[in-house]
Amino acid sequence: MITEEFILSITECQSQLYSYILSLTGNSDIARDLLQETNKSILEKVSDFTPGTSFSAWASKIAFFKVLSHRRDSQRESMLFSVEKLREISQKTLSKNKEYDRRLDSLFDCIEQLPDDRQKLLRQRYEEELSLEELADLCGRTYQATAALLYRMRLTLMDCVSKSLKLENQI
Amino acid sequence: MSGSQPDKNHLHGDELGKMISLHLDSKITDEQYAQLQYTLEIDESARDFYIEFMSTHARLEQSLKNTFSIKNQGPLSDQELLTELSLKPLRPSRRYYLAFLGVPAALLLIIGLLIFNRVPPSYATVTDAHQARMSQGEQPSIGNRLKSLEPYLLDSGQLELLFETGTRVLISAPAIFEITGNNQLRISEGKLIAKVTTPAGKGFTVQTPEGSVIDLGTVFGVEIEKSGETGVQVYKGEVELKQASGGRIVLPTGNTMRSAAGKKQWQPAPKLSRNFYTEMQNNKQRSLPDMVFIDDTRHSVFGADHYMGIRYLMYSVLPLKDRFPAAEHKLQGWEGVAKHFAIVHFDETAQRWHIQANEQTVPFEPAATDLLLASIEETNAETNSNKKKITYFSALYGTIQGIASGFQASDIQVLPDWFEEVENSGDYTINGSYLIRKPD
Repeated sequence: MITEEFILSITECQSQLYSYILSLTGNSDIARDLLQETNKSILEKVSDFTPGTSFSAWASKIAFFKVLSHRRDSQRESMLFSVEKLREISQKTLSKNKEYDRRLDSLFDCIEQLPDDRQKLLRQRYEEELSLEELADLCGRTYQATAALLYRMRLTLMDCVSKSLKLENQI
Repeated sequence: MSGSQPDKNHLHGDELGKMISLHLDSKITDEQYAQLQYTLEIDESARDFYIEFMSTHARLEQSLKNTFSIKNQGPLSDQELLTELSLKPLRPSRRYYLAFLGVPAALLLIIGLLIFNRVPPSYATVTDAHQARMSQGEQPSIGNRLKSLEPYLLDSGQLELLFETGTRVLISAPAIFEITGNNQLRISEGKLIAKVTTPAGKGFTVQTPEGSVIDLGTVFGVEIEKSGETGVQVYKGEVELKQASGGRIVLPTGNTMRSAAGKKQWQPAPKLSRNFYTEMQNNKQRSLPDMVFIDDTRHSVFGADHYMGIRYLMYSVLPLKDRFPAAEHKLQGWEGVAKHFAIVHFDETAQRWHIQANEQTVPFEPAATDLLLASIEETNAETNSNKKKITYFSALYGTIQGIASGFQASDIQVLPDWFEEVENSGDYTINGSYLIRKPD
């Protein structure tokens, strides 16, 4: 039966589910499609969910099967991972997602610490979804330099979030 | 990233990070992608880095969209939010949605959605579960009905399914499968045997990554290895294989075809993997009691060099070395020959069966499960391999001096005068992978 709590749960777990599926597929477009299919299945299987158990664990399981189905239907070469490795990635990502909100908050702080031009580049890449070529044109850099810069920014933010969480854990 | 082996395909440090970053921006070349795939397969620390990097990217997508995009759009209606939730993945973070979600209206919309999305029916029931464990620790039980259009991941053990049409399917782990209809199943990894015995089951279809296998009234096996290579072997009757080109191949009893991963092109092959036969033989007893799979690596059988009457090829359920202990019978070389096959003859004078061991014969009492598969006769007085007449007892059921003879189907072939892959007068080599005994 669909309860208010169920609706809140499905809404609440969207970001984590997306992150989870993205880790398994490595492709934003595929992850979006599979999240859509997962949501549909969650709504169809509402009677299978046992209230009082972990909603996100249940939803992640459905998402995992969606990824497996996608792997089956697509060329194996197009998937980064074997089924065995998908299971490992699944477990590790779910474990990391337990502190999802804390990581998201830290990321906001880390982005704000970036110089303005770097923040602008991130917005253009993520909000406006500009391609690397378009970003390179706007920045007046080569394509390779823009790709390298974007990588460095992602790495910086990843390190920043990790350090910030470590600090929080020490306090 | 650990390791410093001189492997040019193994990416390390920044090299790895850049590849993941390029992959995220859809700018990775095929060669780089293959290197990334390889590195992530073999290097656990690379996978840990990848997970961290992906998580950062996912949060960037969500947080930046939320911060810079959604806030400028103005509030959405409940209906727009639910449509977004159920039909599209959410871009903004949960906080934004919770702020605008009107629960009563949302509830109505979800219920409406469910009415239009009926739960698919169930077509298959678990009729046997041997140490079966699904992914996430579930243990399927006898009587469970499997949902259709849902992938099942069988981590260990075996499952026997009974379809509504009467078709029985034995699936062996590790396997990924899905019930796709009342008489069809899709499998993307694993091993199975399908037994179609009812008119309603005719046409049972197994969808594999390399094409569909359609039953034409039969027993057949399908094996999909982790590499994606797919094999099909027919044990009885015929199956139809669909080619990617649109063509169809009818595969008769005893024949095997395989297709390399992604090729979608069936090619004749001698048999499936040895592992297939081992697993099926060890675990199939209850489901397929009349089937015998031969996984023995030893194919040689002692013959009777100087015996000139009719001999028989006999199958013994109990391994011969257990039945005729070497010490008791002073036998030699028993360990080096086929475990379950022997050449036997009936001594008319002594009215006893004899089994041929190395350079000697041993009288024995037949067991109820012994089965004679073929007779071997000399066509002239001179021993000559080309003059041995072999008659297989295919569907020729009977009893010969107290031992049952005849089988439904088998791919067993007897090669006279061969022993351990060299010509050797009087001995035999047995090639084959299965036999189906007479039905009870």
